[in-house]
Amino acid sequence: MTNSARKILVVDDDGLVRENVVLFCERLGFDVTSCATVASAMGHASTGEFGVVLADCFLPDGNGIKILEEMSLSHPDMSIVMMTGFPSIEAVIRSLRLGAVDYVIKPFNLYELKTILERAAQKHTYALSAREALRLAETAGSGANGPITQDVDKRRSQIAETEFASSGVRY
Amino acid sequence: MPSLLVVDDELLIRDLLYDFFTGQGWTIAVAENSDKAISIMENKPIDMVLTDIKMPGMDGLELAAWVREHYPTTPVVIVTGYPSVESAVSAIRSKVTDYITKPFNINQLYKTLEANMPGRKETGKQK
Repeated sequence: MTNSARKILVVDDDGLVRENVVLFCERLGFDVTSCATVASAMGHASTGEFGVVLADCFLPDGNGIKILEEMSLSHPDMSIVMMTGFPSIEAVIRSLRLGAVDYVIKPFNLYELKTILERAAQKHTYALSAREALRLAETAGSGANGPITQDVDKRRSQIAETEFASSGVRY
Repeated sequence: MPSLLVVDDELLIRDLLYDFFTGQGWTIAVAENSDKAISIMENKPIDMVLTDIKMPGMDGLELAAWVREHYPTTPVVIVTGYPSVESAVSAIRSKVTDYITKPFNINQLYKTLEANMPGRKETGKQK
């Protein structure tokens, strides 16, 4: 995995939850940064150094989904996991449409969280690989239907297949 | 011509969607359960799957997971009359493209499917 895949931003205004999640993520080998507000999270996440963001939905200065909304546009390779103790069907559907890689409902068990975060990190790595393959094809100056682009499409498909096969999780 | 597989155990829904999307020039296949849907996918090219959740046998979320495993680039859109947080979270984890609740506005549904149809210049999000 690339370094960014092991860099995680944890966003939660509940100090106890945040501290526990930070400790747990560190035990998983993540390089962890944490904060408690949307504004602070935006500041950290916009640097682009994080592969994974775990964000609570209800934060003192706004809805955590705003982080997902903005980062899915500016940093589409970032894997964003939403979490909340007060889930609603509307919020889950909105998260799905914005590209959240998962949605965790509190209280959660740590085994579940481990699986979710490892899968999120893996997805970030695959996204970077696909982007790099595309960049190489574009650098080679091939046309949209050229052999290199076709090869990239094939590799993207292979990456998608590998991603599923290696997730090893059935919910 | 886009090809859509509609999976729903309600005949009225299947007929409604078949008539509407055929009228838009799409190629439509219909299945009343997941087993039949899998059989269709194994025998003809399908660009996108639109599936109900609650059906006899394998449900729509299990079908979505099967499609993700065997046809990872084929988008799956869930449509359900019984939305729940649990099934919507499962939908995220199965990497479905969208989760739509019944009753739906068919023109809105058309726009959603068209926007996410593979090969379009501006497709929806890639998960």
